[in-house]
Amino acid sequence: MFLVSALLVGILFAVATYLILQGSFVRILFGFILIANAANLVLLSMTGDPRGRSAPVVLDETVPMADPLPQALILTAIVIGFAVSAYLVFLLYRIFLDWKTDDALALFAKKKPTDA
Amino acid sequence: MSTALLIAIFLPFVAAFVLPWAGARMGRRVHLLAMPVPVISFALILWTLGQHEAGTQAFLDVWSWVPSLGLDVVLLVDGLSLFFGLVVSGMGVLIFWYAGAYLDDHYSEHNRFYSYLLLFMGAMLGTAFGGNLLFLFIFWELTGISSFLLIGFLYGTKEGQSGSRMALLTTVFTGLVLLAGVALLGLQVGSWHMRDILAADLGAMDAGMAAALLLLFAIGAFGKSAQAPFHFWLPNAMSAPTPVSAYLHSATMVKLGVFLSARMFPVFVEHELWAPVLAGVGFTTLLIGAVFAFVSHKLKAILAYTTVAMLGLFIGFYGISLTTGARFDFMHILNHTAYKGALFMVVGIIDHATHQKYITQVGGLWRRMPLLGIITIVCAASMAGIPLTSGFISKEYLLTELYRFYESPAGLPGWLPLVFSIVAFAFMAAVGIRLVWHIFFRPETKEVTEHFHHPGLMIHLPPLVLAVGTLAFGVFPALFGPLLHGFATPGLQQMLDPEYTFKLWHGINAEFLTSMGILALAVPLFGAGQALGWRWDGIPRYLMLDLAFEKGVYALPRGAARVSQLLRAESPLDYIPLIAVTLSVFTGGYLLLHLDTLNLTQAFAALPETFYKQHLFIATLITLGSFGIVLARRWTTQLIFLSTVGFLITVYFVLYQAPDLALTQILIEAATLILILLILDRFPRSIQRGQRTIKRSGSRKSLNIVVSCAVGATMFLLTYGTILRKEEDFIGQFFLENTVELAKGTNTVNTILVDFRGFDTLLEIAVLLIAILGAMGLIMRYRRKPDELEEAEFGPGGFTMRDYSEKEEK
Repeated sequence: MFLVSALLVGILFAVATYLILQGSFVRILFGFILIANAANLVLLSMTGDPRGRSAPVVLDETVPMADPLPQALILTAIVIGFAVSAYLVFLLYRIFLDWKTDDALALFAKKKPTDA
Repeated sequence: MSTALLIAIFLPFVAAFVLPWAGARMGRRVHLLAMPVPVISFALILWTLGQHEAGTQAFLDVWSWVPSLGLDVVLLVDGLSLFFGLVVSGMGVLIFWYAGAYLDDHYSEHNRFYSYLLLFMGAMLGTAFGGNLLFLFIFWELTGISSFLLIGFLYGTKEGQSGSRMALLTTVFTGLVLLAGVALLGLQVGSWHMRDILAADLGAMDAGMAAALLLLFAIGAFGKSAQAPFHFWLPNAMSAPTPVSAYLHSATMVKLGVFLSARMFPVFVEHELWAPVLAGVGFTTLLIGAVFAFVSHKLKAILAYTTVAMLGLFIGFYGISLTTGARFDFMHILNHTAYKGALFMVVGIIDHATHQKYITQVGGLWRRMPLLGIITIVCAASMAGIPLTSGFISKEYLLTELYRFYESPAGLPGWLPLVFSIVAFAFMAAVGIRLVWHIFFRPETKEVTEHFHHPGLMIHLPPLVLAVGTLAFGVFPALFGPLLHGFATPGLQQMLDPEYTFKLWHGINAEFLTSMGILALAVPLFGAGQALGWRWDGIPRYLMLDLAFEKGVYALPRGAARVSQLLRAESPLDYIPLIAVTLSVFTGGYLLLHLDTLNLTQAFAALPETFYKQHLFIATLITLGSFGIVLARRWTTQLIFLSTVGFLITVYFVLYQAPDLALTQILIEAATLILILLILDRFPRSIQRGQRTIKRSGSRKSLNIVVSCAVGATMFLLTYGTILRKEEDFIGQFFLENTVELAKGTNTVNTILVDFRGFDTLLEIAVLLIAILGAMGLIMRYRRKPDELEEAEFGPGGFTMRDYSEKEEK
């Protein structure tokens, strides 16, 4: 159980890092979204073993419940992750409008925006 | 008493801030406004001296300024502070008078000049009377800053710029060293109050700490007093107008190092490093300064190097003093202040009258300015130590001290101070002869004939006062004895017999013979210079540390540029692998070292029994999806894989008993998918197919794979290690227990977000808002190109992107 979650986190991080290391801005964007998801899973795995526990909705005091704090943190993180990736999407678009490229290498090789 | 002193110290500050406005339209007459300030300060300190009982120390606690730091306004009244206070304010009176005549209408911004000068005087007085080490240090640094402003008064000139920068960097750097010493000493003692500081017992401290304290304080003093190897800044500071050179860089500020040595004398004198450090550096500087003065040709540089030499002598003098206390130290300092201040003023007058700055260019001034000649002869004689001047008496007493140290040396060879001093005195005497002879008695040079105009009598008065004082002390030393007793300082000086007074004639003894010997040595030195025609280019370039310093100042930005180039600051792409590698090396390395605590093999062996079918299934799907992102070429395909991963994580949330997360994830994932699809559609097809991306080299690709795997492994170990340490009573328990009672809700995740941590959620919404505004800015502020405008007049920038780019491709 723990092991599976930890392995999944490791794989997602490896894939996301690989994407970010690429030159294409779109891949960097996808890598960023993936890393946000992977980070959420890190937090989630800290709630411990979910088996035998119910969702943290207090209906019956006697049933053990999952830790609500990581869940609250993840909820915030999901929304903020969305905000940042939405911004990145627009940034990517703007970079293309100005520079006519989606490649980071090409971007840093150029000195100033091309004027069509 | 404290009121009088406070007025004496802070009146200059007040005046310094009032003067720029009050004197804005007064031109050079602004000195009439400034003049009363040093007079008042001098009178008040003189009055305080009358109230003060000789041989005692009084601490006046005025105000607790920053109690949490132990920084209080405390005034320390003793012989030392009164002596320096009187020298500063007394010289201030003469200098303000002199500046009034010196700064004529050729200069502008007189109000700024006097404002800085007053600022400096206040800072000096604050340092002299500082009764709290932190308070003292603040004023100590203020003197450095006002000195910077004054040296750079003629900021349009190259000398003004480099000279002020050099002085500031040197004194501020050594000031920082001193600050370290001040802080450490205060922490050791437990207070910065001078009463506790002066009672500090170095013997009780750690031996290394005591030595470090002594060195830190010594470096602070050496920097301010231009001791080797910091001696180079003082001659360069001479680019200031002459009143500044005479006041700051001869009479007062540069003596702060001497002052600090005297102030900390009771604390450090018994330490074994005291004599070697202070006397070693001091007497070396004495020799260097005297020789450099002899070989220099610029008038102010000659005086600057003799000043450096004399400062070395004073600091060295404290170094060789008996642990029971120094003797006649104030007399030496006063003697130097008088004749050197006067000589600087003389040089200023010569500059004023002939516009010449080099000794090689002036001559034959005796006929034109006999009064100035007499003043110069008296002061140069005092510098050379000729009988009937104060310099002679000072030298007699110095030689006594040097012979005493020769017979009973401590810390360094006994001959060293004596021999260095004799040689240096001979050089300085030769310099004195040269000054008088060249300026006044050789045939008039054509530069003088061309430029001469008489400077007027007023400007002669301040150096005349000093020359008369020098002469009076030299002829009637007995009259000045009582003065010395009035300034007796406990801890610093040996208590003398109250009847003791100075004598002109001690009989024919070793000191007298040495003194005459020095003069006899000076004559052939001067003769040698004459025989060679003084035809050399000043100090050899390889000995000029100021050139090296300037080179260093310019090398600094170039070095910084090279370092940032090395770090590839301008190519952020290379930073991503760097960050990833750092993470895996440090965090991953640490985890690897503690691998055995994770029991990984056991966990893997137990996997088949403990795994949970749904989990494994979902996890496998997510893994496959993420591989899909890497392998797919087209953006749309990648996006579909990415969304698949996102939606599958929703299921994972459900398995983890987190229904709220699952709901949010579904919504957000859908929104992201729609948003990216909409935008991606606007890009040209070729880019969407990934055809325009530059191919990376094979080695770079394999590096990327290795780095990614390392990061993945690190995160795996980190996550697994964290889960294993899950505590049974987690923090969230609090929320579970209180959610119904405090927040009136059963869904604990909801109550945490909107109730317990409501502000976090508020700020989270703010982040969304900022992202929206930023994204809108990116699109709305885009300036459309003409053909884009033609196709669609309305809508956000680049709205016709697809058509446009398709056209471009054709």
